[in-house]
Amino acid sequence: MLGLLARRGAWSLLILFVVATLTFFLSRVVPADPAAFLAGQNASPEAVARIRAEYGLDRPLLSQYVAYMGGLLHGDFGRSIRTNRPVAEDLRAFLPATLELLIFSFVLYLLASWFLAILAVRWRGGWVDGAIRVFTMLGSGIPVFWLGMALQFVFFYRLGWLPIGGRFPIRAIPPPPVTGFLLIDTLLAGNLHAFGQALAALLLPAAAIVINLLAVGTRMSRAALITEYARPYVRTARGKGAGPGRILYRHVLRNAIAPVLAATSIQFGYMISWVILVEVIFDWPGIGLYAYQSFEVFDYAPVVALAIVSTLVFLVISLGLDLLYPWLDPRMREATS
Amino acid sequence: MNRYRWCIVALGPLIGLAASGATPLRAAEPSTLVWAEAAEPATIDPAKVNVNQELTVARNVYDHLTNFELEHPDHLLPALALTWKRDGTDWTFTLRHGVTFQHGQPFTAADVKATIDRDLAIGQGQSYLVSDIKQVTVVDPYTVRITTQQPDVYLAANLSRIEIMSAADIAAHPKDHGEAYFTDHANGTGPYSFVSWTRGEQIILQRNTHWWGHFPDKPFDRVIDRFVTDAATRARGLEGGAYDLANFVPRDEALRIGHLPGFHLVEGNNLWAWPAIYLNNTLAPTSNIDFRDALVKVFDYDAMTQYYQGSSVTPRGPIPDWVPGSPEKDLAPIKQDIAAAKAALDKSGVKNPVMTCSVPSGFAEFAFAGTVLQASAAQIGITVKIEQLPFVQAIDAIKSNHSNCFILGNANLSPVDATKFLAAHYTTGGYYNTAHYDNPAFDKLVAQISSVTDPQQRYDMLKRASQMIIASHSIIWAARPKTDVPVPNHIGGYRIDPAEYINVRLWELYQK
Amino acid sequence: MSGSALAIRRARRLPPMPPAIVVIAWLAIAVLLLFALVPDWLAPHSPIALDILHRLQPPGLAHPFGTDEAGRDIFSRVIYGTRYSLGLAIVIVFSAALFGVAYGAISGMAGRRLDNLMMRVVDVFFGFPVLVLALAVAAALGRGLSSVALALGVIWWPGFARLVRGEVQRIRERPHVEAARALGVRGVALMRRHIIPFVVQEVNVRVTTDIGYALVAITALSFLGLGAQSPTPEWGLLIRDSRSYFGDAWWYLVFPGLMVMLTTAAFSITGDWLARDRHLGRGG
Repeated sequence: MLGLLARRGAWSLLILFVVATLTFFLSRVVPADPAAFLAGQNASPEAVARIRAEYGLDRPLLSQYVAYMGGLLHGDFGRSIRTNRPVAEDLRAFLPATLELLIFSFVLYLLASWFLAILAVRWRGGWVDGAIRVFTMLGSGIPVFWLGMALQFVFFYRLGWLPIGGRFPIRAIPPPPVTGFLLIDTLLAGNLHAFGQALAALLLPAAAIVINLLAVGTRMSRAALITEYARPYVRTARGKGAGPGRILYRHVLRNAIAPVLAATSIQFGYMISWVILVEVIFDWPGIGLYAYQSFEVFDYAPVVALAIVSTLVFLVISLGLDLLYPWLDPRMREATS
Repeated sequence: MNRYRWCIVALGPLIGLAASGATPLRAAEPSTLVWAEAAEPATIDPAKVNVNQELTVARNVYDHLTNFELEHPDHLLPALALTWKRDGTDWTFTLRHGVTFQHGQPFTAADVKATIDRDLAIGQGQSYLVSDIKQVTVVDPYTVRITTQQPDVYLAANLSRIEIMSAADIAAHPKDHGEAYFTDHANGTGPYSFVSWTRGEQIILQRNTHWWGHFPDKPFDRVIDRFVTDAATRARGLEGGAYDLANFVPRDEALRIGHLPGFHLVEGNNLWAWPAIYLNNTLAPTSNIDFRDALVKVFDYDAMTQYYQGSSVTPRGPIPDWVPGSPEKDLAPIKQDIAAAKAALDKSGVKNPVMTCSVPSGFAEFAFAGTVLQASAAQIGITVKIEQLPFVQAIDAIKSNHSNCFILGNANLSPVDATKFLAAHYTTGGYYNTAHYDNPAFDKLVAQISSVTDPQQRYDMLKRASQMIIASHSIIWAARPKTDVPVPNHIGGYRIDPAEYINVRLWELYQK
Repeated sequence: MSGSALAIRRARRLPPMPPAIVVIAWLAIAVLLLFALVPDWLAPHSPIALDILHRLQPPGLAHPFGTDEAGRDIFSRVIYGTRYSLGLAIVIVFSAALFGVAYGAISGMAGRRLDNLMMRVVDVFFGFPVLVLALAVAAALGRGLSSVALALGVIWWPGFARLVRGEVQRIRERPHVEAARALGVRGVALMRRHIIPFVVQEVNVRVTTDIGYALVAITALSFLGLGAQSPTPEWGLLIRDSRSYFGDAWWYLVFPGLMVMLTTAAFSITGDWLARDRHLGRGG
């Protein structure tokens, strides 16, 4: 177990190194001068030169790279030209918003895909099964940004039920930041109403992400359920007089979840990719929007940081899911103990 | 169905909480105004503020020595200065008594000197408006003398754009002129004070009840300057009531929203919505003057006028007729003439021409001007490739000579001084001189204008300068529309400042 | 295969898809291919000619999908856009499949160490967020469909590599492969005659379904302004341009979006149809 962790950890570090190197060089091939942007209109040439030196932009590329990688070892992601602050500081400010959206979406995705799969299996081969399939399939074909706009239109503009964007109602005062996760901070502050406000703000962006992935998720869960239902122990349990609810929750579901969960890390990877789009549409103050706005003004450091951080999040989640797998699967748990 | 009951038991309270969290769209506290800004500022330092979203904070938190009437920009009004007069290269300002900064220090002449010295030392932001200043002298606590290199008739007007900081603050942060500190701290004498800045989300301002100026009845006590980068989201949020006012709403949306029940349109003059197409003088094929001539003549100006639905005219030159001292009425009209365009193209000798055009994204009007150029040029066999880029990338493409053309709205931040605008857009080295227009005679002429005291002589010089640019065929002035801003009926007092990007004067707004 | 195993495999099959829907999907794909190949025969109007007097017209007889801000016919623009959107999706998925199959087959046949190394390389690309890569490529090479193709191609092949490697490892244990090996068939010949044919079916399914997903990804990048440039009527770019006019002209946003959705659905349905009994033919 420890050996596996060490190997995976070492490998993850190597992947991060490759990703950081690749994005660093790719983003710096641009023939542009971010210092000129920072200095602004009518700035004197001396002001531009001063800024260039301040950000190390006048040094050769290779020495910039070495300095950057050296900084990374200390958790220093460089300085953002756009926000005038260390990228690490910006990440601390923006990462919780993204993580909260990602984790909430992931949970929503798991709940929804299993719920739909259970319904589909319950009425297998019938119209419910078919309808779920058709709807999830159509959902997977909707571009996430288009869906986001449609959701905004219906739930904000037409119905007025949910906010158009942002993490928290504009005019309300957010809870004191402790973890940066509003769902947790509001509870820590003991403010259930604020918790509801944060939850309401999460719903549309999360739905835009989730609906896209439901087709694959539901299909995997459905197949796993059917496989489990066909196993002999289900017949045994039935023979012992267990009701359908007990069979589903006590036996089938527990055994079916593990193999599907292991295959879910890829889905999580897609979520990370879509999150930039969703943040742009829903004005979600996370690292995606931060990096995208920085990219627009040739501010490279945040883009490289986004690549590193999102790869890291992906690696951690897939490692977590892999570790969870033997723990969740009763058969494997017995085998190891 | 009891197997699903646990789901309902678990999800029920969550849904209930979310429902309770879905707050009513308009707030219960009406004295808060939400202004949807198009981007997050990089800085709120008055010496560095440059673009619209940065000016929002600076203009409202700080005061200026002078002010001006929006309808008659050449009529100056007192602000921190009560009177002023020019004598050769010396301007003398007498200052208002009893003004205090939001952090408590009294305002005196030393603050004016420290501010201008700092602006000039940093050399960024709006300092170009006062770059002519040689020296600032404190005569007594309420009198300040400003000496310029050459006589400058526009200085008092241009000072209406320079935010006055506190000398004590500047002295307290000596390192690098306090650039790090002032990036996100502000202490002015103005109508609103800076409260907080949540990165990526919003800046909160609070009404300064000790302000020396006059608020209307029922002003807004709290202002949330919300960063909403997506133009369509701003339009939708304004229409749906999430924001009270929004900056840069796409024009078609603005007109439609303004005509909805509960909204009205405020119309005014402003340079920003005016798309001008800059043709690069230093990159083939637009380096050929006859080729540029062909483009100027083939452009479909009527298409632009139709797009603006009647609120636009076709410009004749660089300076709109509503700018004080504009020579526009004495210039010849510019019209589409396809036969003449063909002749010019033949004369140029350019065969199978292909050119690229970089257009800043996010502004539907600019994109449309590009579309019209593309379709017009195709009529005489010119292929125009369009690349929509974020503003900084687009301007970088043309400044680094990778693109033939660039589309830009304009801004003249001085209420009366057209030479600052001409300098930025057409003189050698000007930041927005994306046509790479290079004419020493023009540069010299523009630099002289502000030192001439006779208005008629200045008029003639401006006219000559305009004719020089027109003759170079470096610019297609596509349209000059009115600016229309949709305003909800519960807000009064909104006016469009002609010498600004489209922005907001918070201290004039009130609840209806 | 035992009876119960067969039952499981049958049961795993997807819910029945009425044949009518499958046929409709095929027809839709045929029409889309026509759009892509001969748009000038089918489009009623020029995709770029301006007609400002008829700007933002709602859908009607003259303009089935309405007109855009410059009076261009959106239906015609959508037809011309098929070549860019769908065409590029097909190119990306096919090239990713070609490379991925070769890579996966080599990895699947290789020894443990090489296989391990090759799969770790695949892992790097799996973790790489596609949008960040696209941002970086657009920064380096400029915006345009070729940058999009490069970014998506780089992201897309590892999926095929992983799929094929798994299949190859399964198939190479089968009796007929063992027999061929015993007869001395090795290397490329073994691969070509005894392994690849059995993998192709899986790859076909994946290619078909992925075309739809690639289309969605292309439109997403164009929507962010990284892809197609005006006046290319690429669908994602149409959606991007439409946003400033949404309140005035819902049709401008809705029709290109529907085209993406229906195209993806048509390819998904066809992919499922191709996969309909692959579980029965396998195993044993």
